Amino acid sequence: MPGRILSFAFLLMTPATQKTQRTESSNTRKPADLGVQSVPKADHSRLIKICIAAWVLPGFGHYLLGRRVRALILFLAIVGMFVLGLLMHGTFFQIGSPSILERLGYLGELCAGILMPAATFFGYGGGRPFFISADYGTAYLVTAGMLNILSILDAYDIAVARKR
Amino acid sequence: MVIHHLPAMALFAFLVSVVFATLSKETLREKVFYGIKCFALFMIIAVALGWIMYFFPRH
Repeated sequence: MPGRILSFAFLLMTPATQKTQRTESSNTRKPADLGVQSVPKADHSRLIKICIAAWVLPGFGHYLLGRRVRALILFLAIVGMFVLGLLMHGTFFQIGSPSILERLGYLGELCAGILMPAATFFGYGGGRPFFISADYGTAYLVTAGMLNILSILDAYDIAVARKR
Repeated sequence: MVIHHLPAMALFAFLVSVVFATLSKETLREKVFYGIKCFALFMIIAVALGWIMYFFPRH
């Protein structure tokens, strides 16, 4: 139950819910006016590589963009959250599960990149569902994936010069 | 690792607040203040929701 409370609070706090100022002409402004660079076709492959790198290893996309401090903070926070989830014996969901929620949970955990396959490779057996802290551990695992999604989007914004 | 409710919640809120602050703001000062605000709101909202649910029937 506390995990569900935190998930709800997480939704309330996402940057997307913050109010943004809009002007009357905002709907008619062109991308160039918004400071977004139009992306040449040759850069598309670079963008894809950065996004894939950001997905595979949390913070790596930012590292490739030269944002070393940001990369380090994201790496420590997201990987730290994932490792704590493993220590609490959180559950690894299965893609073939009959429950749609468990399949979504699997996708959430997969969003953390190489972390879930690496944990499985090094012998993590998928968790102990009846362990006392397992619910928290599962929430940590899925949230690490969700935070990595935000990290990928941020890397993309920096790569297209939408952010400094 | 056995962890109790409040430390688990606080640790979760801290890590999420760090990521939010890192991604959302530009200057260090803004990041620190936003991170502290996020963490405080996480804790306050979670405790408040817990107390609201306390009065729900359990069975």
